[in-house]
Amino acid sequence: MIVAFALIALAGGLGAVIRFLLSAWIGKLPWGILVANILASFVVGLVLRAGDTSGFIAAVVVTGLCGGLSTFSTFAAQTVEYFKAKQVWRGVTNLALNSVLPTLAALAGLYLAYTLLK
Amino acid sequence: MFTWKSLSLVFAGGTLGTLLRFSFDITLGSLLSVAAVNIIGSIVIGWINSDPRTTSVGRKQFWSVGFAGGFTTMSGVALLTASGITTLSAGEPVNIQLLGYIIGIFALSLLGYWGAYSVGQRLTGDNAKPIEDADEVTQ
Repeated sequence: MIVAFALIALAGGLGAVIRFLLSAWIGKLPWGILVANILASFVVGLVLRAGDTSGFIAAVVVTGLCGGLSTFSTFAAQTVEYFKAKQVWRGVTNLALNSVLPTLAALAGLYLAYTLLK
Repeated sequence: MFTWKSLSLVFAGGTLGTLLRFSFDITLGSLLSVAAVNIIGSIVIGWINSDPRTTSVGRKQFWSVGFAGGFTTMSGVALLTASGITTLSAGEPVNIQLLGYIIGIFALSLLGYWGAYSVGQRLTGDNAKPIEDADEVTQ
């Protein structure tokens, strides 16, 4: 149990570092964070469909790595800061993209795993 | 700029945040913990961003990027939304409760950040001075 906790936590740390590296990609919107959220959601869909959802590997990859790679708090902070700076279109776009694209990525992962395993 | 120090701080914060999120997951169950961690995490990052004592780059990297980022999860919300869509494709009606739950997570997280930032700024913003990290000043 302790080993499982440790591996999940360490995988989360690794995911956070990858997100941190991606976060340097900022243009008109914080693209790096969006990519991190999309990537994590895709892998979550893929792994959960492909494997045993209660399995150890799934927990390390999904809860650990993907949970650490994706972030909701940074998205919330960036979106609110856009609104506070009266950059409404950026706030709305960031909100819309982060609401829709990670979900589509998760669906794509689920579908891909389903197709590959059929 | 990425340094070994910054990567280590993010890794340590991310490890701690993930551990706490996993504990929430075990204690509350997946559905409730997705909402709890994202709302609490957004409040935490709002507070951190408003507090002048955490304006040093190192503290932000540990608490905001690492801890709050690792504690919250967008992939969990995406999976929740995707699960609602897959039940739709199976011919089931729209799950209004789930839809409201997901919209609630987004709304309360954004409001949580804004509220925590506003309160934090009022309590600390005018009075406290930032604590600078000597190492980061020289970077």
